[in-house]
Amino acid sequence: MAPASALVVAGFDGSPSSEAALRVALCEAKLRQARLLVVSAWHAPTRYYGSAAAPSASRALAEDTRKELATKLEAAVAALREEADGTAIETRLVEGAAASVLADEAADADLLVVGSRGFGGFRELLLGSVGRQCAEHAPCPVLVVPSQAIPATLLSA
Amino acid sequence: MSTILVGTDGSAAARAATAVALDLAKASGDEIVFVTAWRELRGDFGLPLDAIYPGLVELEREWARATLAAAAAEAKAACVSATTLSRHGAAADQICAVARRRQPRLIVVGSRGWGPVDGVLFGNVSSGVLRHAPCPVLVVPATGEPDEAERAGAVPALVGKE
Repeated sequence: MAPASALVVAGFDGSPSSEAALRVALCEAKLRQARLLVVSAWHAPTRYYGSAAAPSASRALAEDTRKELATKLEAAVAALREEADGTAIETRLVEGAAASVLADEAADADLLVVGSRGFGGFRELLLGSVGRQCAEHAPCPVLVVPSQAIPATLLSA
Repeated sequence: MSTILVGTDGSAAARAATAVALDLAKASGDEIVFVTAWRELRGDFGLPLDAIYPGLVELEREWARATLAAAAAEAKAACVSATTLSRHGAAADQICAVARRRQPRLIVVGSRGWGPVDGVLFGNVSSGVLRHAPCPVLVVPATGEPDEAERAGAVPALVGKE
């Protein structure tokens, strides 16, 4: 298969709605004969259970966060590749705030797919607000997917 | 066959949303329900503006009617089956209420609407829809900057009566 020029970007943080978002994103990529880029964003927490984290502690926590996220991303994408039917799936793990990372990665995308709610708490990788911020700032259409009641695709009748 | 619900206020982003929804519906054979909401405008301190500008409500309602008529005409031109609903109340509430009743597989809205007029989409509406929608929501940005002349044209009576 020739490299697809169309691009679908999906945000992933390991939450149920981001897993739902991945499945919808894959269907969309297939329909558009697009590449699928799965993006996870992480950043060093500045607060930990309500306390300010020292810079060294913050780095340690960030490293944990990154590793955990990398593992989840790998597992989720491995499962996704089994249903890919030749659709190219790439992953990218980026340090930064989820909404701005996703908006940047979606600069040339035809569609950005995100879950409607991610994890809150110190991870703050994909809050509900991320979907909103993406929808507000992304240069392309943004599909916000709740974890329940997932249609097969935008195009499924 | 299922349903795609499009929330529209006639703004540039809403028209972009309509175009995307029509493309989707053409490909899927889905039916489109266009929803627009109108309500009595309120000024600072909740001042009911229709007390100062009688007939303002009628203009709001007329704008809703014209917006839906334009959307229906676009759907017809695209050979997509569509119905329209004009609702009284806050747009996000009304879009989600219709969604709960009609159970569309998708809601499509523009990323922002007539900010200066009523914040009819985004900010208020898109985020309200995103928070309360019972199904996936596709948020479509406007292509290009909103046209100032068009924006002014949205509030002829306000301009005229000042």
